[in-house]
Order: sequence, then structure tokens, then C-alpha cells
Amino acid sequence: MLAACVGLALIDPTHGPTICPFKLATGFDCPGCGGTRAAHELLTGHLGRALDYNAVAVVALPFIAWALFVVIVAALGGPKLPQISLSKRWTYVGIAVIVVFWVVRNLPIAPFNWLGTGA
Amino acid sequence: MTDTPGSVPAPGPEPSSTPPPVQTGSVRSMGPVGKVRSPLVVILLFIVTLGIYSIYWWYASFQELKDHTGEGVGGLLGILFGVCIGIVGIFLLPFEIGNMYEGEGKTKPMSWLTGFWNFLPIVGGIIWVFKVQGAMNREWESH
Repeated sequence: MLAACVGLALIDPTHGPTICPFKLATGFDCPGCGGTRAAHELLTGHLGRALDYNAVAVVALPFIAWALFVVIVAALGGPKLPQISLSKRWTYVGIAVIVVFWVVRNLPIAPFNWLGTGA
Repeated sequence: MTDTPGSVPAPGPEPSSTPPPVQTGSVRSMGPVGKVRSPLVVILLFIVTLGIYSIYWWYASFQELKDHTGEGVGGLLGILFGVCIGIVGIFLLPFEIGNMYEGEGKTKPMSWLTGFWNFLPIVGGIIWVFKVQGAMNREWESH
């Protein structure tokens, strides 16, 4: 995990190729577009730029990091730490947030267009 | 049962409604099994829906694994791992599948290393889906 973070901090994905099939086909951002770039910006200390690329990914990153940490600790034979467990209601809320974010970030009007990757 | 293009995605049962797996020696007894999906249909749906189906697929795969084993990150985090930080998801899903087999005392058909297939341009992703979905299907069909 540390190696992955170091690699993501050192390698700037900003000018890499677009790999999202939805973006390639439609020109619109999917909910995940900008996620890797947001992680890179966050790891290099640029919170504003990270939010600009993918606000949902930035908000979710602490949860993602903890979930991954639990998996890695267990895989290495360490103690079994509590994994994030969401109720049905919160799972649906999370999915709804992702869907709304997907629509809103593609609206061509301010301030919603700020949520897009701009690329 | 196989996914069809016209079927309405329905999330699997939630962990809260599922009796927790019981530890019996070194082999766990498992919860409900997931849905068998043709890897070919999955790939076609990825293409036809311009990747939108993948959001449901990541959710369903991780949620079904959690429902069955009582462990893992679950559906919503699965979407975040698969879609927002896909580089993690491609390693995590085969890792959880390997753990599921190991938890039942079976030989692991794959590990996190399976994720490296995705670095092979174009065909690598297809091979990965066949391996991952195939391993899940074999487990669901064995119950």
C-alpha cells in the first residue's frame, strides 16, 4: 500500500491517456473519472486540485484507505480489524450520491461544471 | 441463472439480512451464493453500455462475495475501488475470490496477482474478466 501510494505520488497521471470507455465514447465524465488524478494530487498535497478532479473520490478516500488497510493487514496475518460495514439504507444512499454526482458533474453550467474533470 | 441485457439489476441481499457465517474448524460454512454470469455476456454488456454496466458488476461481485463469506469490502466500497480507483479493484477482487476458496478449504484458483492480466493491452482485460467471473461462477455452482 505504501509502495502504491509512493508510486502514485511520483507518477503524474494528469497527461496520461484516457482509459475510461464512457469518456472515450461520449466525452462525458463517469463517476470515477479523475479518481486516480485526485489521488495523485492529494498525495502531493494539493487538496483543491484533488477536489477539482473528483470530489466524491476525495471524500471517499479515507474509507477506501481504511478498507484497504484492513485487507492488507489480514493478508499479512495480522489482527482482524473491523471492516467498514454499511447498512442497506446507507449503501443505497451512497449509490444515489454516486449517480447524482455523475449527472451533476456533466451539467455545462456553473457551479456544477466545476465537479467535472475539465479534460 | 445468467444476466441478460434486458434484466433489471437488483442488488443482492444485505449482510444485515443474512445470517453470519459460522466458523467450523478451519472451514467456514457460507452464506447465500451469488448469481452466475456468463463472462462473455459481462464483456458484451461492458461494451454495449459504454462501461455503465461495470458499475453494477463491481457492486454485485463485491456484495455477493461479502454475503457469501461474511468478509470483504462489500458492494458500495467495491464500486469505489472498481470505478474510482480501478487500479486497486482489479487486484482486490481476485484477492477476495482466492480468500473465499481458501475459507472453504479449497485450492485458491487465483490471488491478487491475477490483477496483472489487466496490464496486457486489450486482451488482458478480457482474460481477467473470464478468470474472475469464471472462478466466481464455479463457486456459486458448487453450492
